[in-house]
Amino acid sequence: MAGRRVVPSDLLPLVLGFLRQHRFDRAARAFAREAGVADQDPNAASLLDVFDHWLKSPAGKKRKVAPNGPSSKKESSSSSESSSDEDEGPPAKKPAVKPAPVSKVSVKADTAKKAAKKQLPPAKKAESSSEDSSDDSDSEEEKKKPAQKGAKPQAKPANHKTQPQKKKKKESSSSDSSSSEDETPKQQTPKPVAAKTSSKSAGSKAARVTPKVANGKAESSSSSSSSSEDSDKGKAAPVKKAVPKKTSKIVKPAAAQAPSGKTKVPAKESSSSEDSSDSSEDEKPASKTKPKPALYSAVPPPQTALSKKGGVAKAPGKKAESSDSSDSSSDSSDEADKTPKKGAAAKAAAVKTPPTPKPAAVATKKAESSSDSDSDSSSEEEKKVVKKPSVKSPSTPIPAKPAKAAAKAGHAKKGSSSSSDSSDSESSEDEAPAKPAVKPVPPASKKSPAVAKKAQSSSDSDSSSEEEKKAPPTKPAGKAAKPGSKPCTPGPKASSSDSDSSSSEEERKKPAMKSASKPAGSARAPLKKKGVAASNTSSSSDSSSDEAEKLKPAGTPVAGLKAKKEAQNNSSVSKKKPKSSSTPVAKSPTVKKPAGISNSSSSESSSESADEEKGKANGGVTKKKRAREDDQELATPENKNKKSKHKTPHSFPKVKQPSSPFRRVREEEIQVDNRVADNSFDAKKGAAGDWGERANNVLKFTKGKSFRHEKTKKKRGSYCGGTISTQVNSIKFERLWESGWTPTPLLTNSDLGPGNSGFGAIGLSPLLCHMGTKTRSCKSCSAFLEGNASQEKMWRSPACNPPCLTALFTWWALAQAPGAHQHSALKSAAYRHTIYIRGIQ
Amino acid sequence: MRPGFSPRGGRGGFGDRGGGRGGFGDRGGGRGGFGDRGGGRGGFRGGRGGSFGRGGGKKVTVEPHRHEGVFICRGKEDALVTKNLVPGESVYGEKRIAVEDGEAKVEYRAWNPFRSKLAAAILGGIDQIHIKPGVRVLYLGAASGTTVSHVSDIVGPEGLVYAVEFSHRSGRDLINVAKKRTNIIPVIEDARHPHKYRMLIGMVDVIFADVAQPDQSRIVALNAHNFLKNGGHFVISIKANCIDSTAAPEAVFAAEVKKMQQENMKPQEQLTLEPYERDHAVVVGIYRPPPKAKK
Repeated sequence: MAGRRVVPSDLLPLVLGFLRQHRFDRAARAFAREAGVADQDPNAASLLDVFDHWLKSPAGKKRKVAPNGPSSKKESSSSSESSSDEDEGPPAKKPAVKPAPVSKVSVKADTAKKAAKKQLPPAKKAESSSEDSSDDSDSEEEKKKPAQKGAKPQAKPANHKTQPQKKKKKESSSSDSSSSEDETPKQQTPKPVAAKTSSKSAGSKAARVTPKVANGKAESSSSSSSSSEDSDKGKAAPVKKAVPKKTSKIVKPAAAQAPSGKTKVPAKESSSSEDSSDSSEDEKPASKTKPKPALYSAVPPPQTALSKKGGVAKAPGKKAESSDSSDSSSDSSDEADKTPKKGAAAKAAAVKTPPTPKPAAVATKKAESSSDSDSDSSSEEEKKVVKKPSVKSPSTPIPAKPAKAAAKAGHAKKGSSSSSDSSDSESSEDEAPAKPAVKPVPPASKKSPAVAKKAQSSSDSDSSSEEEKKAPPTKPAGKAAKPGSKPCTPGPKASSSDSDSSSSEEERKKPAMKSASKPAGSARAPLKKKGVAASNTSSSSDSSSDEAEKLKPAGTPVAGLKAKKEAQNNSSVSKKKPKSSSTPVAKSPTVKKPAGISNSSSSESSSESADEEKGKANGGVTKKKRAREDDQELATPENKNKKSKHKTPHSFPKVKQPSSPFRRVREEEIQVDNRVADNSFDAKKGAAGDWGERANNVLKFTKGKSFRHEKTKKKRGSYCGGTISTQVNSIKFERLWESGWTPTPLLTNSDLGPGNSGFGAIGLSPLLCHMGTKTRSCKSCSAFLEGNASQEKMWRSPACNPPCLTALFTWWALAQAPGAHQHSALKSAAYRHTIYIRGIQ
Repeated sequence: MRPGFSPRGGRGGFGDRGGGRGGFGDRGGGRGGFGDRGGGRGGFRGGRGGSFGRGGGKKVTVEPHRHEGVFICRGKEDALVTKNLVPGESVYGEKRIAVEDGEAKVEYRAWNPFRSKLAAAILGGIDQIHIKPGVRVLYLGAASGTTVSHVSDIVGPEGLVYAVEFSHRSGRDLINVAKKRTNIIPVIEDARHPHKYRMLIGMVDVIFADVAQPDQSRIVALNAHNFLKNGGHFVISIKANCIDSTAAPEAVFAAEVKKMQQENMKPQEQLTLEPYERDHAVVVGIYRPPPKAKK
């Protein structure tokens, strides 16, 4: 709570001065750039607070929660700063914060969509968020030792959260804001901006009421973040543009998912990993839920990472535990933790890369995407703050805004504060929503593809984001424009984003793309399975975190920016290595976590991710289990316990799934004779002209109640069916060939040699109909047939009376088919049945 | 019009099936219904005053069906009929047709296939019902006794019909039917427990089952083991939805046939009851068939 109070007090004046986003963007940005870092930092913090307040105010119920959440987060962050108190306080606070965001999200969702449905999802989200927050708090406690590092990581997490919130709900934003508050003022400034943007976007979305808005926001945020980064770096635009498009596409899917399955997603989120494993029906929801957990986890992980610097292993474990249901979430958290540890610089790099991935992630899953986008925005913000807080924020916002303005009107919102990038992203999101709105529906329907795409895009986006940093400005604009078109085809978007990122990244990107592509493929399968989506998102987050970690090792944040870029330029593998090398402790956790989770970030991780994906494809549970195992290895016993707990609940539903509904008759195990395979009247012999034909003409179109109604009318006796025939129409079980049944031929037509039209042509069927009354197969009957024997002679056969089908066939074939006796199959059959035909051998 | 159950008072036993009951009375004057078809004589419906639909009846001829004891009323519209064991009485409001055969006047009762699965099977073209005059029939699932009354007509005074029904409400009507028909022995018991009424029933030649229970094969088998003579026959109506509403009816029937085979009941023929019933089939078979004599 203290952290909150402090932050608000500091921020409030600034916030009031800037007055929300619009002012912030325009005037505030200019001020921040010109004035300097110090101004920006305070501004950012204030903005975040404002966002929180705003969020609370719009949603009456949620308002209360949101404040608590942020406060708790702040506390946790403060505790993290002060290594001693961190453990207990942070966890509690974080949970509280998460719930609040959830509530906010729910409120938005209500406005946007069906109130009831949305509310339910939010509630679920809140639950998951609470869990995640608790986990986060745990991680935070562990991480608290590294107060400084923790602060940076927190900021990143906050950013991630904000993005997720935008996409899915505002929950993440609240949590993010709190985390950002906890962080140092510099970091806070960027984060707050993002949070504000998110909150604004959420508000706008709420007004719109349609889910599309939310999606669009998320997308725009991601795109904007990338664009801002691009503008900062001023690198090549084309490649980046492609990435933005991807992001926009991603956003659209997410939006679609959010609207269509928001309610489902929340429920799934609550169940998270459990749900994914459970029902195929839940698959889509599960995928959504997974993303959500990832987001949650993503948020907590950063915090944990910050705190963890001292105890990395614990944090990951906790994360894993918290995410139990959603391993991906835990993974993401782990990644986030790693990133914070490595350093602000690393974070900044990670942030840049994440932005692009975030959009994709968002598309796949709101939560995931949001986390990704948040992390990206946060990283960007961090970079700005650390390196050139004043300069970057202003510069990036300006370029990004112009581009956005061109693309869409939503850019104005982006302008909020130093975190212009974040604001830009928001505006882009807003724009995207409109376009995505149409597209979102298809994505939702395609959920699996969308998720896969998202996952891919997320991984790709990471790489692309890095590239984008170099050439950001042009890309954002392109993104804004492209998003509209891209939303139409979610699948293509993901691929395009991947390709774009690969091209921009070139060599480095290629590995990333590979990893991304693999994840995408796996993600698709996972999506279907439910768990896959979560893993994909986690992988994306992981990759981002990895990058961040790499950057962090580089050193100070400011230097880190360049170092980060350099590291990014280096192959993803090299990046990972730096991370590991930078801090041994961090390395083991980071490496393990990313790998275990689904790391698409580095090429190396790609193989891991592929494995993970495979596991997901096999079953969400398996993936989760793997992730859990990994986490457990790294994690403390507590984590294991949590995991075990989660597993048990999950396991039960899973067990239920296998159980099929009660059936007395298992169709697949019953062989239905062809003669009785159709119970309909028309299939009955003698149906035409039957006394019941008229009734059938009426009743065959009826079903259920209408059938009963029609039948009742006929019961009264008014029915006239014409003449009644005494024909036998039943199906006799013993006379197989009476109703056109043809036995499996002993000999095929081809066996009788060319020129023979076959048994049917020969007229065997009538013969069988006349003679055959026995269906039993005789293994050694002795049917005596002499030459072109007459039926009387046939009946003489001692053991086979009447002759069995095989004997009949053989006899007939030998008697009727010229040269048939020379056929080996016929010969053997004749021998078995002791059929002697005069004149044959 | 409800002579059968009128003694009971206000509550007709056929409340559930009663669609037809009021129907007759109303149609009595109801030529209107047949107006388009031309005179009321066209069908059973027409009836003057309802009692004798075939009032004039001169154009109507009754000929025996392939199944002994069952007749076909040939007229403008054919109808399945049975010779009324109790002339002048209509059991459930069905039409009666009086035919003057020389000096004797014979009354037949119309048998509506939409009300009776056995009639539906006969109209559908089943080969053998094994119910003929003089046989003893164990009827499981007698309900209110509508079909039982026709079975009673078929077996005639020389035959016997043991009608087992578990529902007391339906059993009340069944008993009323049995009051008028001496060849019906009503048994209000659960067919799952044949030992409870074993003292009431002797050896029977045919078992007709319309119990519509998930375990009806077992029920029939239990009763067959207790009361059916070797080489006796069974006629089972299977309602697929009562056994497994999720499976395909054909699969359900096949499963039931298989169960019968495991109970020493050899199915001989199967017939769908479409269009008279939905997802129904009738299976006729023989119980403990004598070993085939090899010549």
